[in-house]
Amino acid sequence: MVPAMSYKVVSAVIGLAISAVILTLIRRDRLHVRYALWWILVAAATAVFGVFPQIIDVAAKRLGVHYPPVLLLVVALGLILVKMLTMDIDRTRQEQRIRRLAQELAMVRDESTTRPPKPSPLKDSVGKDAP
Amino acid sequence: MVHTFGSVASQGRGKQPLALPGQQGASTVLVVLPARDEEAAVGALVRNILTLSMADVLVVDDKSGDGTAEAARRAGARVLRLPLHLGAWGAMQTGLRYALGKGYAVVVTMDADGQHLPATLPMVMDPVARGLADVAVGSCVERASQARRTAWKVLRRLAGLHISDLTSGFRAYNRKAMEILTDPRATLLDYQDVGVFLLLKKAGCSIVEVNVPMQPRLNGHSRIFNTWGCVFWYLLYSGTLCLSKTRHFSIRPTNGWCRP
Repeated sequence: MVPAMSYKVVSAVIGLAISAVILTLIRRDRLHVRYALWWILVAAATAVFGVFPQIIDVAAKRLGVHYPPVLLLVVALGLILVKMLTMDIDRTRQEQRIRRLAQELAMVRDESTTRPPKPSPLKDSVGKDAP
Repeated sequence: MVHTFGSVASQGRGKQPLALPGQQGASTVLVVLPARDEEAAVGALVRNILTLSMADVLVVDDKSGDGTAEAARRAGARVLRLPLHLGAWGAMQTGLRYALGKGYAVVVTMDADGQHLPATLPMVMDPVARGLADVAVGSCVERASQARRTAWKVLRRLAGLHISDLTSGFRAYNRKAMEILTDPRATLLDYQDVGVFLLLKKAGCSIVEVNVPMQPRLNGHSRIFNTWGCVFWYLLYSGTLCLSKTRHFSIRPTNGWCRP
């Protein structure tokens, strides 16, 4: 019948399209390899589940989930939460580095712009006034 | 005014140099003033400190939009200019890192808006300079508004701290305290109060409080206790910090997660 057919086609098209976009972005170096690994897995998963959505039905039956789409949603949501958490952890680490760098930059700037009195260890301090 | 720092030199576990050769004035005390848009007040404050004490003065300019850095430099202070806005604690930590690197024995931090009186500087510095405590807090409970008192009461309870003026920026630190507070972990703090005290407490630092008179702010106002909304946010922030950092709740070891 037509409805079953179109559902499979739609699912496959969406899955393959998403994975194609992700892989293109990775190939264009828009993503750090560290993050690319995760996204390659996501691309593979969307492609596989898109083309063979019945995998979810089988898995749901095995796990005793009565309404298979819920399994997909719960797992996806869980993975998204984990991903967001690791993103925040990463952002925190970067914030810390940025702050340390800003502090160090302030100190280095001071070294390189101070007036003559003490001979600076930095060769290129020309005794310019601070901006 | 002459201060003797001999006791600090002998107390300091004998591993740190007291002052670098060629250091301006070769003082062992550095007064750190984190300043943001304080052009009006900072010059006079720096001059007062320099005439009243032997300390060197460092102004950490937290990306001011006005002539704070110039005013401070003209008054005779050393000036560090932050390229990003880091907030009061970020600026203070910059000063502490600077002091640690330059070998100062004691750091005194003051607000640049003129709240803290240079004449009371020796009172706050003394306990640390004489080796009686690792940290001294210049406190003035009388100045507190209702909002501030409420906040302090809650936070003292949560953090298990016994300091009455938690938010005072008028403090003296010795090298042990500086080493703890310059750690990258302390860099993620946004305020100078609860988180800082919890770190110090955990490391076993002794903290004393010194009652000092303070001036009402000449211009500007507290950035924390501006409105009840700010107070609420601040309490939420500090409360979370307390819950995650006090002993009962902490998950050790803390180093595994963040690669340095």
